Amino acid sequence: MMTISGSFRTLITLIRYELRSEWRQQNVLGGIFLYSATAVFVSYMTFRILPGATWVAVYWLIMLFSSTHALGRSFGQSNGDRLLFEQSLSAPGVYLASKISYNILLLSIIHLLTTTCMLVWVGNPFQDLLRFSWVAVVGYIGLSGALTLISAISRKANAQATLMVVLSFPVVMPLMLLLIRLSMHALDGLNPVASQTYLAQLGALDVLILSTAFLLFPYLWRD
Amino acid sequence: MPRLQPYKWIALLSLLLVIPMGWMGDVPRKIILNESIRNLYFHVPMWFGMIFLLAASAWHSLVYLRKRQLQHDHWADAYSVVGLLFGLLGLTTGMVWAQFTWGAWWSGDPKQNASAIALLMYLAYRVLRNSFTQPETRARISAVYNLFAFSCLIPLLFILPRLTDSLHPGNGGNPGFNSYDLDGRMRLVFYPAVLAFALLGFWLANVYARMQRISQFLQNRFT
Repeated sequence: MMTISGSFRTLITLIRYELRSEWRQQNVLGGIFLYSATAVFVSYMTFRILPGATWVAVYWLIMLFSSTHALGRSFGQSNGDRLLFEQSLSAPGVYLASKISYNILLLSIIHLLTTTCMLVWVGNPFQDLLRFSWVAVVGYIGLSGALTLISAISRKANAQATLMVVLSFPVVMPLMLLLIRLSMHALDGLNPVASQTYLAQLGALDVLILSTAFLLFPYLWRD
Repeated sequence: MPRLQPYKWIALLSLLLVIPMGWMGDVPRKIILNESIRNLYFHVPMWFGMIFLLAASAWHSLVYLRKRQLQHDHWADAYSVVGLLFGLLGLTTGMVWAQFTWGAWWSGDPKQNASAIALLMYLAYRVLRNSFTQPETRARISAVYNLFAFSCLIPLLFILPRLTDSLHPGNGGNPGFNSYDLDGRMRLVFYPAVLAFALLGFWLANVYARMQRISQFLQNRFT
């Protein structure tokens, strides 16, 4: 039995371990960032300047693809010995928590990068850019939870790339719809009171996804 | 006289009432709806049936994860297949109805979109199931996805209608069917229709699960 402070220490260790091994494989990380930067550049070459609603649509499409691409490998690099070591180190809940927190961090960095690229190339149609930024990060909590669980599922099926997309797109759809609606509010600079209900729904959806993920993950744990 | 379980008798007898009365019974004369109002007996029960069947499928997945008995996996599989069939039929009957009353096969109605996403989820579930060769692994991993998909389906059904107004009766200021269309004569057919098609769905799933069990048995025996 692990105590709460013990689990917390393990969590921190696992996240640091993840960060360090990611840092050692910079080409993989660079590939992910390049993926979204290239996608933004392609949309710049096709659209030049994007009008507001299209900006939001293109941004979320790019994020959807690059996040499934990036998080699809959450469990990909842990194979054989390393997986056994990580699993012997922690309980399934702590292990999942470390993966999800690391992925939230990763998604936020991709988000910053994509947004910056889009601001530079296709313009800034936002009335309230700051609100768009933090609302997106609130969404990435749920997105990270859903994609991490599905990445674990598709890893078991040994059919990574296609299966990851097919399994995750319909599941993250409710999250995406709320995020697009909230981005539109930030785009038009609506009074924050108008977005309160949607924000509450987004938070509730985050909680639902995370709790389902934590309940179900132990069944994917070990064979 | 065939020996059938009571619920099959109820399904059979109510269908004997619903099918002739659905096509030939007296219905109110309504402008625009005209004779297409009869679709109420076939379109709406498909959705009720789908929700019941998918819930049953999720339930069996849960029981499988608890007890690890393969028969529960067969049940989850069967219920999801028939649920998918009901969803496709509900979508088709709905699209035909929409073309002749709202003027388009697809008008981005939130309920149309939600059902399309639901179908994508359960088609993905079929793809996932088919990517395993080992029955135990397939049962365990697909049970996890089934439960996760079902828990994402529930918020979808509540969130999506709040984002956009629906053309369906009872939404977005449209009067519900209860208020003016569903008079006593129609109720007498509609309620048995819901019961009949739902029970028929469970019957179909029962046959499908038994077929699966036989094919499994033959495979184990002769290979």
